[in-house]
Amino acid sequence: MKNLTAGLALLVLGTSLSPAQEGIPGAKRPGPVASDLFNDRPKANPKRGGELTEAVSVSFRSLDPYQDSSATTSESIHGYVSEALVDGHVETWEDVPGLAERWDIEDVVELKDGKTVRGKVTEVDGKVDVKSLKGDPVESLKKEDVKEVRYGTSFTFHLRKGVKFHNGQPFTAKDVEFTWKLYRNPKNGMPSIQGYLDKVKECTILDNHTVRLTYSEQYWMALTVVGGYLYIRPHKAWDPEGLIDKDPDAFFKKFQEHPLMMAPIGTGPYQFESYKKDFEVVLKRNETWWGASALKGPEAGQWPDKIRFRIIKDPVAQLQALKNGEVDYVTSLPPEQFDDFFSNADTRKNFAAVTMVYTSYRYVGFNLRLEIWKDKRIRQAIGHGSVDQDKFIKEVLKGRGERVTGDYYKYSDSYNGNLKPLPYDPKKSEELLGEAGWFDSNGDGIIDKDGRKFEFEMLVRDMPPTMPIMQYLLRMQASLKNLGIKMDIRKLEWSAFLEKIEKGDFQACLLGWAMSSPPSHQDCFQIWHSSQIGEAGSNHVAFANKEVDDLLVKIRRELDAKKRHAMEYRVQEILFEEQPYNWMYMAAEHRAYGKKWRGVRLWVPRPGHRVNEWFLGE
Amino acid sequence: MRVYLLKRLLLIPVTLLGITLLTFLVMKLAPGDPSQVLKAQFSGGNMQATEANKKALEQWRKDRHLDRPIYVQYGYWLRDLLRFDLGRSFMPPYPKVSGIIWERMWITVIMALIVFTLIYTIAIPIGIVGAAKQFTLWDRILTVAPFILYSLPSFWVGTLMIVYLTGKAFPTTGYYPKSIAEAGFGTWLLEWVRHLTLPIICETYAGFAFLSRQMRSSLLEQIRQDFVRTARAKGLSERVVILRHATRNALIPIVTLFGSLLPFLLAGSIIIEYLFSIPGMGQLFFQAVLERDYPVLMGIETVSALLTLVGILVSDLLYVLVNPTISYE
Repeated sequence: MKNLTAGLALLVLGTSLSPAQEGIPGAKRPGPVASDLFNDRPKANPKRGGELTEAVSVSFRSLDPYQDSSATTSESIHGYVSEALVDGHVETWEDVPGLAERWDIEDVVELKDGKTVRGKVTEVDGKVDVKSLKGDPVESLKKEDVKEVRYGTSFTFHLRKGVKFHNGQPFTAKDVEFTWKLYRNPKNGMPSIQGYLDKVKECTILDNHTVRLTYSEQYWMALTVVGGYLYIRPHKAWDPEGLIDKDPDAFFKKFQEHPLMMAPIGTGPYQFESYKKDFEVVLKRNETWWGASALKGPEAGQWPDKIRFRIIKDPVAQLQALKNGEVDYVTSLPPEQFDDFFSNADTRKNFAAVTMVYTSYRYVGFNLRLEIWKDKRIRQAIGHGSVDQDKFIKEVLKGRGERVTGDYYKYSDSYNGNLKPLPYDPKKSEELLGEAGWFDSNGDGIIDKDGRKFEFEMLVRDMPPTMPIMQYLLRMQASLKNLGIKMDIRKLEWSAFLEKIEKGDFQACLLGWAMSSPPSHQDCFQIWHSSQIGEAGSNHVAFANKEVDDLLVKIRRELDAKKRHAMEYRVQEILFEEQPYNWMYMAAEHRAYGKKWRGVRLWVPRPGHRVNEWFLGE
Repeated sequence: MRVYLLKRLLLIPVTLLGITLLTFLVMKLAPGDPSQVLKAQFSGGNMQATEANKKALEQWRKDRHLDRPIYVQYGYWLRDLLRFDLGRSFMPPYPKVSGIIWERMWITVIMALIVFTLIYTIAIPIGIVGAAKQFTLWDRILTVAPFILYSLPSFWVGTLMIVYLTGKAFPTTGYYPKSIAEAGFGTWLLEWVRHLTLPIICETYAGFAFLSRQMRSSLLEQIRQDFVRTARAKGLSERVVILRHATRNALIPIVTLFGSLLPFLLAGSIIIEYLFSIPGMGQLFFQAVLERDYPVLMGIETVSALLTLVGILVSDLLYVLVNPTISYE
């Protein structure tokens, strides 16, 4: 821990002056998160008071987490206002009690006659024994009568008692049921959440504070989906007449324009106070929050009197507002503006410069529907010969990036560390291209095969030329030219770009994936399974491999983490060999905040902070 | 006159129909699909192809008639327009287009009114001096200076202002969220002045060139007229000749120009609103373009087309009012 602190201190003193910094600093694995790592001022004792303003760069369309599922709304507002049954722990990255104080997990046996039995299942020689949670036998079934055993798919949540919504209404099992019904209904206008909750088939109220939710497939992430995705809403406020059962059509017609969409009510540490459209959202402390007494450590903090989110779109304006004291905290800063801001000694004195892991990666994707990319040696050749990535990371990113070889988060148990990033080796590229039959037969400087020249178009989202990615592409273009490959760069504005990607109307593209939270819980099914080719899925390069398909299905069903990781390793091995993507790097994220704020902990799972823990130190 | 007015009024819906049809076609022919934008927004594009998702997306498209041919889509849009309904935005929470335009309009309109007032009060004297002192050093300075200002890009000037001028006196944002009741009238007014000063300057400085040149050439034309010579021959002072006789006539084309400036009131400035975080029409329009939010785009286009048509009509009528020698019989 000591070394880490020293490294970070160096960073604070001279961000732009320390290109020697290798990789991205910060605690990258689950574990304790120290506070005030980026702040050199003396520690202080927490006290209530002050208002904290965070700059956000996107307008809020709606203040509802699923009407506006952009990260801004769901992370900024609902991280404080709403709560789910299960919460992700910021240090261990595991599912921990939220509005449910504990839960029982059971297995479900589906019989051939359609009946289901619930309990703890053991399968022994031709028999399926079901026991209750206490260990009493429930039923002993013959294997031939059983259609399927789904382990770990029934969740009985024991809800916290005495929890109140911000409007004073008590939180009960009825609210869980209402929320579940609301999110599942296709008429709710929230396609994002419908897909996830489609498989949460049943919701049964056992008593006022006990509710059981059942997942329809065996899935290792079921608890996270069932418990973590339902932001609980007060049913009495949303639907006092119980219309959702009596007349769903009427309910959902009104629902879209319900006043609570713009004035959310939850159970969280802060409650909604006001909203000025396209300007700011203000939250104030919830004085009756259950967590203040039930939680321990910084998580229980509710130090600022108010939390504001101020919409400022331009990063230069954001940093200037920080300097002027109009905002206290700025995230997602472009490296150029960040370095420029902290090149001034005065700003370094007053503001903390944060460089941390951003759980995402960038890649070059090849559209495998096209003949030109069918041979994996071609994809490997591009990987070896396009850009000297180590040099790029050092020179352009100033060391603030790390190469990756697969989709999983680099510092998680799923990531296959045995795979080493493809070294920059134009010789090797040339060999591979030669093996695949590509030579410059007519001496025009461009390699060809069967009369076809090696030319392709790289599709990229339009962005300013100063962005590192544009420099990456220029380097790539130059290196490929040396190999006799002509690459045109085509920049398209976001919607037009997306349409081409989704419809498979591109040759190669440069894109990135951001990981959901926590980074140890990733499911790459939608990116690589062959069923996910097409508009509704995310396999836009049209990768199809029988073994990967089988493994991805098995991974989802596997509850044993060790066995699952073994399969995840294998998937990465195949994918790395096949190179449907040339995996590039995971870049750092830059943030800045006023040093007067203490108790600042920043961690890897998104959004990386909870500002209710922050307090004024001077 | 009445017949003329009636004819012109009847022409407005016909012209409007043509404009909306063209706008609709151009918009639809541009690449991009709002449902992709929606999908990318949800879960960062990482959406699973479950049956439920496919159905949800299909249903979403169907509800907005996006599965039908363009002319049918236009038909639906037109039907709603005839009921004075501009439809709903494609993006959640699917607000009413008329509602969003109304919400965003006032700040843009107020800013534009201030900007136009400033431009007129500064540009007209510049034009007058330029014409009265034609070919002198003053004329040259007053010609070159507005053009220098005109050629400074506003994104650059705006960024410089934010970096160097904001702090104690001016905030980085151009919008003050509190109402009079919350802040008290004095504070409210002062805060608005603080917030709007920089964006207003930024939006104004480039506008002098056009109007001052118009004024100058219009006045030069008048100065050569017989009535000016007569006035001079009467022995009136140059000051009276220029300001009372010539300028009055020279103002006619300038006054009528105002009609064609009307739509700009609504358009707003995308760059200035973005830099200074002002929630106005410019940002609304830009966002809608990026997201291919067709109903919002059509709504804004229709309203500004209508304003343009009304503006042209008004300026034609103003001609009659300010110049009795013209009549539409």
